Amino acid sequence: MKRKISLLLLVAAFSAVSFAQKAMPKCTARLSMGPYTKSVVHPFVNHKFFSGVGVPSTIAVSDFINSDINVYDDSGTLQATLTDSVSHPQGMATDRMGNLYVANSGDENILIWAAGFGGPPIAIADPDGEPADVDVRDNGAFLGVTNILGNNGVTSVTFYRNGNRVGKCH
Amino acid sequence: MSGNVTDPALEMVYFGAFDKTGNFHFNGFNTSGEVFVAVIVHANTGGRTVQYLSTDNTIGFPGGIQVNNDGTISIGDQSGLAIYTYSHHPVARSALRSRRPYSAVQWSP
Repeated sequence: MKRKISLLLLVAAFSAVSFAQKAMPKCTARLSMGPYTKSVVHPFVNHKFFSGVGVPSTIAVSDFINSDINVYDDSGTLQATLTDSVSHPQGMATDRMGNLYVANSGDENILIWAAGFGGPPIAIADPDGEPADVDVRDNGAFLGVTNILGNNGVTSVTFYRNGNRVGKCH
Repeated sequence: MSGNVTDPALEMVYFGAFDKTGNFHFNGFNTSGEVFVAVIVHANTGGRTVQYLSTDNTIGFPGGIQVNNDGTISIGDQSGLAIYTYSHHPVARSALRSRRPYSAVQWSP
C-alpha cells in the first residue's frame, strides 16, 4: 500500500513537471524557482512521460528488478505491463509519435514498442555491452546508447542509424 | 559515418541524452572514481569526440540526464537525491554552471 501511494505521488509529481514543461516555454526557469521545487522526486527511478500523435499522455516506469515496464495514464492508473522480451530494463526514450525505446540491459538490446503497445517490440542488438540508457533523434532514426558494462570490459557510447551501428565511443 | 574514439578515462557510462542540435550528453564514473559529465558534439552528423565538462558542484552518483527546452541540462544525483540544472552551450564553453538545484525529497518505495 505504501509503495502504491508513493508511486502515485511520483507519477503525480512527474505529471505536474511534464505538463508544465509542455505548457510553458520557459518552464525550466519557473520550475527551478516555482512551486514545483518541493516535488517528490527520486532521480534513480527510470521513467518516461510521453505522448504522441493520437496517443494519450502516458508515463512508463521501467522495473529493473522485476523485468517489466509499467505504463500508467496521467491519472496514475496502470494501463499495461510490458514483459515481452523484457530483461532488466533501464533507461527509456520516446519519439514524437509516442513510440517507446527501452535499454534492455539483460538481453543487451534496445526494445522498441510502437505507440499503443499493440504488438511485440522490435529488438536492436547492442553488441557492445549492457545498455543503461537510450535517447533518440530524428524521430527515432538515430539512437544514442550508453553501455554501462562493455562485453570487452570497456564502457562506451554507441550510436545507431536506422537500426545499424554507426559509431562507438569508448 | 563511423568512427571509434578511445578514451581510457571512462570507467562506467551511465545516462545520456541528446539536445536539439544532436549533441549527446552523458555521465558516469571515470577511472579515478569521480563522476564525470561529457558531451559528444554533433553526434548525429558524425561527431565522435568526447569532451569532458566541468561542473561547479559535486555530483555524488550519476543520475539521469535531460536536456530541457531552453537548452539547460538537468542531471540527477542518486546519492544526493537531487536534480541539478545547468546552463551550458557545448560548443561555446566547456563549463557547466549550476543554476538553482531542485529540492529533492527522498522517495521511499
